Amino acid sequence: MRVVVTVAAALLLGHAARADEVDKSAQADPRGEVVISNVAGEVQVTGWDRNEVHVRADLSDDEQRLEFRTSGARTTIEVVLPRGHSYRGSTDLVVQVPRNSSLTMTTVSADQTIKDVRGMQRLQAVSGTIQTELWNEDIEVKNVSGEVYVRGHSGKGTLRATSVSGGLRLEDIGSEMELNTVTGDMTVRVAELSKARIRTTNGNLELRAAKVTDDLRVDAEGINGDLRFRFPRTLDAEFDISTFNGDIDNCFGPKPHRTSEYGPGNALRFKEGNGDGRVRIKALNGTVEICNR
Amino acid sequence: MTTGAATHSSALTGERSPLSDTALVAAARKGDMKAFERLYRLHSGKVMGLCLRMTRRRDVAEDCVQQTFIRAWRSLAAFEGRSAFGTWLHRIAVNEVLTHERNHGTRAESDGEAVEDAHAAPLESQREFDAGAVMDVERALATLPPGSRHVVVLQTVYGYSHEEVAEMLGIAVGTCKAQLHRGRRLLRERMGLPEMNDE
Amino acid sequence: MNESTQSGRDPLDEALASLPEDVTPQRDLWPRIRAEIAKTPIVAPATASPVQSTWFRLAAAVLLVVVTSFVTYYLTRQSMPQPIARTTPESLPTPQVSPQPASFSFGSERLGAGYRNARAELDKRFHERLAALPTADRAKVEKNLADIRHAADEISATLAQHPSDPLLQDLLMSTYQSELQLLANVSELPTAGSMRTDL
Repeated sequence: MRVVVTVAAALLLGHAARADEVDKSAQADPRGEVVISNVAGEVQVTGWDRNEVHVRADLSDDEQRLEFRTSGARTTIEVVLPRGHSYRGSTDLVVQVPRNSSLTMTTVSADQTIKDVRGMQRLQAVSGTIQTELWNEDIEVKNVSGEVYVRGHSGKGTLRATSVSGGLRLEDIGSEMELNTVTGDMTVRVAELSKARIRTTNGNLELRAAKVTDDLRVDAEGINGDLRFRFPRTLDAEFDISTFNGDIDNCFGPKPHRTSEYGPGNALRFKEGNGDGRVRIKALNGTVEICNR
Repeated sequence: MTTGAATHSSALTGERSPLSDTALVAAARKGDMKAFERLYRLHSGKVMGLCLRMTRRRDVAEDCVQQTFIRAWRSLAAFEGRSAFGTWLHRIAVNEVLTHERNHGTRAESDGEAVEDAHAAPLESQREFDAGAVMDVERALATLPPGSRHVVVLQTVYGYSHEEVAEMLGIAVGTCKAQLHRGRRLLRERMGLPEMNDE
Repeated sequence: MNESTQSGRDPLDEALASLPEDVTPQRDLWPRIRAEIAKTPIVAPATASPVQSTWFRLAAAVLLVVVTSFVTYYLTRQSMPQPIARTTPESLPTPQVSPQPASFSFGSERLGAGYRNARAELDKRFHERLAALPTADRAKVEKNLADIRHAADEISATLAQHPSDPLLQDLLMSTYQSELQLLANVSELPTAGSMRTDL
């Protein structure tokens, strides 16, 4: 359960134009932590170069309050309901935070849009889209029934993304990732791939890597889904691919063989270059495609 | 369900436009069982023919057909449309047949009784040959050993290429060609046809 | 000696070409196919039956470790007596969340009371969170959980036929982990009812 943070100093600036419109600011640590929670509505968070957290909220429900408090280096923004009150409306939050803040955001039925926040991010939603940017700090994002879009800048941050029934669309993310979906598709584009652990139950994967590192480690598993990889033309890696009920298409040359004369199952093991990297792919019902650019 | 004779032995006959399959598959992927039933009605005849000739037993073939469509429904998410839906179904069907063979062993080479039961559909008799003295092609096919029978069925009846058949059966292309050659030679013998210079 | 029919074609080719690709199954297989695939709804049903109770968060992490190591132990001993697949009873209309979860029933008697209790706590918390979700989201979670459990059932059944297949063993374990992960993720979720309220 959520720990109640004792309220320390909160500097209130600005004013509310209407009873249900809230506009508040507070001084904040340039590398502090910002914690936001909302039940329904949109939450937009943008990084800026002021050492200040600013929030503007449209409360749709008279009974709601926006709680805005600071304790040490942590600023908390929460949409709060009175005890026993059942939630009906939706509240949109527009928040600015110091650019290097770390961000923890939890929403139920709200879209999360995050721009230019460069600290660590932990984002969790039930439904609604999560859209954010990956820089040099790690991001962990979990969404149950919404999509996840992450646009990176080929930085150093690791991405851990889990989406149950929404897809993952990841562009120019960093070299290390851990991705999980149940029924969503994953589209991943990365400039340089180093470590990837990927699992899907009923989704397809398409991963394109312009380059790979010498210590490449890819571990991908799919139950009912196609797993497609686009690797650079030349790379050093050992491939170990097995499917139970699916084809293996390999642009690098070597063809798969059946694992048993009478039963299903295909396997393909081959080495490219001096084979320093390891690519392990397992699929039950689905095609595995390995192609070079 | 059509039981009329195919007019040529090469390439899959496209009795219906692939576009209609595409629309049905798209609907089925979203859970539309009626669309899937339509796909079943359109494709089950071919799947049955394939399973029957590969297994030679009607009861086993019907099980294979059932399993094929069940598996297809469950794997619809994995069907990308890179091949025709029918082709994808046939791959699943071949897998089912091979799995069944592996678990139950293959029957004796010349199982006349199974052949008799298996084929209720009357075949156009080959007028040039005395049907009493030699086997008709359907029966002769059923007497082939499984390796060459599978290849002959998939290639000459269903029109798949050497490469496709090899992949479906999990054998090398060279083995596939050899099996085809052997199968055709055996068929000629059993049907009383003269030898030819085969491919 | 080269003999051919009047058309100039090889008589064997003509005979093979005359074979019908389609064969009608003796009985309509669709009802049984439909009954089976109805257990794998692709579209989530509209309503759910919530179950209330409590949980503790650490249980999920503990369970993952326990189940993973146990599954490895169990599978490497290749002592699977029968398919693990637990099929939902025919009497239930369209089952959403199986009363016996896939990884729960697997080896639960061997994992002991500690595991069962911890797992029961996780399931209860999961159902509590689930009940508090908006209807559409709840349906999505249930559908995805059903998908995972169905995958586990399918792999288990296949594993029973190919018990020493390492690929199947790995994928089964991954699927159990995915299930636990989903339960844990949903259990951790905030819901409208659990958002902070004023004292």
